[in-house]
Amino acid sequence: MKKNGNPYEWTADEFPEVTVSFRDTRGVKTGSWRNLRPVIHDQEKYGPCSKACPTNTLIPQYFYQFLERGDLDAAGQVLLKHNPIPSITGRVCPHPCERACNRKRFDEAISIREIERFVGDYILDKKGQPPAKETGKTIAVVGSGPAGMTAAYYLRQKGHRVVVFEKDPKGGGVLRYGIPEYRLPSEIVDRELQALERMGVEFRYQTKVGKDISIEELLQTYDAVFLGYGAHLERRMGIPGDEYLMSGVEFLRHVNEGNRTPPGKKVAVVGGGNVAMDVIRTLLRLGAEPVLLYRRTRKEMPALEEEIERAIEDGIEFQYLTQPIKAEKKNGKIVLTCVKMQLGEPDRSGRRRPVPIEGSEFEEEYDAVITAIGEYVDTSFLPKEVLDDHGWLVADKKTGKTAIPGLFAGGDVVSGPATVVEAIGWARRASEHIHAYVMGEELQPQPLPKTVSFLLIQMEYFQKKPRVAVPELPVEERIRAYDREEILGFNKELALQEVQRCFLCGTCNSCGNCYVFCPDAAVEWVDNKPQINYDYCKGCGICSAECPRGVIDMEQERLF
Amino acid sequence: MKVLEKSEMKVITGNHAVSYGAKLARVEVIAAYPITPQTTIVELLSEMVAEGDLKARFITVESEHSAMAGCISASIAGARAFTATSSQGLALMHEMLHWAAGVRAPIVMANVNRALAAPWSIWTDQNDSLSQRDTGWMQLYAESNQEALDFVILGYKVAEQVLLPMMIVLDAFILSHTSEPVEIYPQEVVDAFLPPYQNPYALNFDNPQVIGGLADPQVYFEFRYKLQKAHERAIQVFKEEGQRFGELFGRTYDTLEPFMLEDAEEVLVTAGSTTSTARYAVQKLREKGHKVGLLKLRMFRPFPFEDIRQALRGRKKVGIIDRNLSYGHHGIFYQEIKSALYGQSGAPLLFGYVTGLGGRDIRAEDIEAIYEDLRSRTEPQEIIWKGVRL
Amino acid sequence: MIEIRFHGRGGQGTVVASKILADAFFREGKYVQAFPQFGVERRGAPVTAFLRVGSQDTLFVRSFIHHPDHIVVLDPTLLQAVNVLEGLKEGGWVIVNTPDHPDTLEIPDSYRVATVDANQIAIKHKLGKPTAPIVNTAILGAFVRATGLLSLDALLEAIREGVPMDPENNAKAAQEAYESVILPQEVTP
Repeated sequence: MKKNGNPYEWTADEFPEVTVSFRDTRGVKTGSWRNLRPVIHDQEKYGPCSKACPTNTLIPQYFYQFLERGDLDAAGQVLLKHNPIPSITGRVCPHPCERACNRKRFDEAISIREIERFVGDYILDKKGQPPAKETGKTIAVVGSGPAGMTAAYYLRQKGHRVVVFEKDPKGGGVLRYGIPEYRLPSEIVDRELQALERMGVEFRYQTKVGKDISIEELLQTYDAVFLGYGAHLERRMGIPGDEYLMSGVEFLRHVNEGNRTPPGKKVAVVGGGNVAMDVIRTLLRLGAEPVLLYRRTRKEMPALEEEIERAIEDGIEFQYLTQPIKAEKKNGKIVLTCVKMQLGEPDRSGRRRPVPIEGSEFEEEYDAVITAIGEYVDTSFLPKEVLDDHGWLVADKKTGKTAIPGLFAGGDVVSGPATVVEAIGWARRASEHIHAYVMGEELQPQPLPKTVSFLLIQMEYFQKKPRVAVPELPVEERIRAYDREEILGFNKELALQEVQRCFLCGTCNSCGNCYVFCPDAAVEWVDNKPQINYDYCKGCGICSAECPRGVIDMEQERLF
Repeated sequence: MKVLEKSEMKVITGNHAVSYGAKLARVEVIAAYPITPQTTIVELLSEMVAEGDLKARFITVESEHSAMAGCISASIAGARAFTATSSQGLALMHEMLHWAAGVRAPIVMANVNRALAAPWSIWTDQNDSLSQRDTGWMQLYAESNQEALDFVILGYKVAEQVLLPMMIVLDAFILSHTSEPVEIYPQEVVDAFLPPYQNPYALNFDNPQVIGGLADPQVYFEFRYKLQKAHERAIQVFKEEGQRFGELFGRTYDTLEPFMLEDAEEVLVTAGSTTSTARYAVQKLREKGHKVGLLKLRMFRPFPFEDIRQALRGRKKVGIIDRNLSYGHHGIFYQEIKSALYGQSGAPLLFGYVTGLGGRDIRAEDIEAIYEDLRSRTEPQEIIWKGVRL
Repeated sequence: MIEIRFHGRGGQGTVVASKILADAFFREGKYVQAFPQFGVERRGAPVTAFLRVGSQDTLFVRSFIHHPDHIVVLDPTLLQAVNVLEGLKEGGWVIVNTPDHPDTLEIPDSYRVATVDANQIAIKHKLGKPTAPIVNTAILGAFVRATGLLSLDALLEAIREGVPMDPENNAKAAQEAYESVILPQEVTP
């Protein structure tokens, strides 16, 4: 075969035997044909889990570090970017991520919370590095619960001096005084607080803002103030004999302070929310025989489904459609008069409104009655200009800003009772704005990352596999053990097994499909990751279609 | 029966003989789609691959078209590729057959001769393979299971030298599903005959080239000229390798095979398994004193013009038995032999016998009857129907 | 050259019977050619298979066998359904799977008839299902004994090496059929 010259002048003998091109095909830059451009968005998109999470934790991204690179420290660092206290959410979070998980539509959602707990515990005592540089700014944080801890963590990380004001002798707020030991051991809370101390966060315990120090003083002394305390006040029932009823929040605080004696043998708990579940399950573990009185039915209960199921597994008796209307004290016992209810039309919350059945009143005698019908926030000491007409604190959900410059707020203090994870998310966003505020910077709004929908996951590449079972205490053991965690959590092996099920939505794990399927060999392999050579990519979209996990998007090519 | 001492003799079907041939040839990629009566060829190969007896990639595809596309890709990447098909499957492959020859991929494919629909048939005739005569493939017609095995090995040896694909043709059921003794050679002897495939044009990452890209009118013609020249060369290569095969394995192959031909005045021409029956009939006719001989056409593409002319020069009459028909024309072997003899001095009178379509049984008596017919005629005849109810 | 034709029904192992017998003859130094009458097979439909046996230098035709030397009938109902005797040469053996005595079958005197209860033997050795026994290896045992064309050892060897499932029980079935075949009066020892 002739190697050079003009093929049009070659004789047949000078031709190659096989019909090969006369030149190296790299000379033909087929990329100019493209009108759609594949873009590799490795780790830039949200899985539906991240989108559903109030903290927007980059779940597939940190799973990837754990799963594909075996690097638990790196996994922990990715996790901490959005959630500074994962050992806590890994135990108590209602995990909206799992409800949104793409895998749920394939077989079962990933056990995201249990993996988070494993990674959170792994880094619990490793985190807490002081910042490299101090800014010289000081920030006051009111409350040391989840919102306060989060704001303190991220603000200290930025190099500010952070002082946390806590009315109680110990930190943690609801985490310590509200959540029972069998769900969240106080030892975990201690270690989370120690991590903050290692960073250099200062704590002023037994200092109640509004009493020991005023908001105005804080605003004068500090460059910014963040209000992150919780909803600690219990609503009253407003029935005759209310004064004989015990508050659920106070009962839990009492137990968490070390008093492990139940207020009696036969105890009624009134309510159907998460606090009611904590109260009644705590009573059972302390040796009482509690019964739950709820005015609607199980379907309308506001507590998390998982908590309701666990209470039922515990063997607790639920009396539905039962509403107390009067309490009396007789011979040291509480005589509770209740009325049976029936469900009527739906109310504003969409739940069917309970209506009393006339003449169905009955009396029952209890050693004690505990109510858990809702909590609210103490705003009595806050400046009037940050409150609305109902006396509720007003703060922007995205920024935490209030009507007073330099005063920020987030978590239950604004929303009323909600979840730990919502408080974390709010406080983290607020901390960014506090940082910008004290540094005199303008925070540019960031566009929300795209979410990898179920349709972008190529099911052909995955095999069905059920969730890895989480080790737990047997029911008969856990109902007698207030001080033992009922969920034992994954060890490394189980965590790895479970994380292997993750589709890794939007995170490239170097599977090589794009490389293999590209008909133009325009996907190149650099440092074990795909890279598109746009000189040759014709924009056919096969790489995007064959990506099992929605990493590659086809985007309109812009000519100008 | 056994030639080489270390060989194994097995009573196996023609299809399995092909599978063993492919195994001995150490094929590296098999891409195939099942079709009766071919299926057991690739079925056995898939088992060999699964059990690790054959180190090859077995690619299951969704059609024969893709099977051939897979083989072409493997071949131009430098692998020894194999597939098998039949009838409708071969027809579906048609486009890719041109591609295989055009990119000069030395693939070996077994085609089990099966009549084409409509109406449906699964029985033998030669129209499926002969319909592919202009695709640029070489074609060998097997008479026995042993030939089927041998042709796979010999096929690669020739194909890889001239860079042309090779079709091994065997009759449906009459060979494909018939069990008879077959000599399976020792691997080391086959290895000595057939070294690993070295493709000088194999795709190369360091110097990427298009194979079979667009060729404008200034270059297409030259490539096609070379394709024809390769076919012309292939006859000589086949003869040499057939000779060498005989030295190693004891079975020598040429483009044609004569039987009792030396002094024959009348000659019957056959291809494929009909030859066996014709042999038996010719022997009986000889016993009766007839000066009849038999010429077996083994290689159909490239067509051995010169050998045909030599074998038939000076004969009185030649009866060509076609289990096929070019509709609107004549039997295909008849046409081809006629074209070889055109204008030759001493050319015999030619008679075209069309018989056995769609698997109609061809008995020894039928061959004898053809001979009687041939003897009785004085004028050449293009189509003489035998066996059809008229 | 000896030509043998097999008649059976889909599922009885008729084609395999022709192959096994071919292999057995081959082990005795014979040249063989075994093939089915190629059709679209299905369970229960009549199936025909062929076997040619000759010496090494035999020229074999590749047509169907129209004039067999012997026939093997795997299902007695075929005696009524199909003209199994068509083209059978005079003096040829007819081996039938039936519990009946050869003399009770209405087969012309010009043929030699042997019967064997291959169904019962196959069921006993767990070949196939009781409702659909696979009788091919059993009837071959009867064929060997009646015709004396090859040794039982060659057959058993071919069965042990060539039957894909449960070769040992198949060999036992052939052996038992060999021993229990009912021969016509004149050849009974």
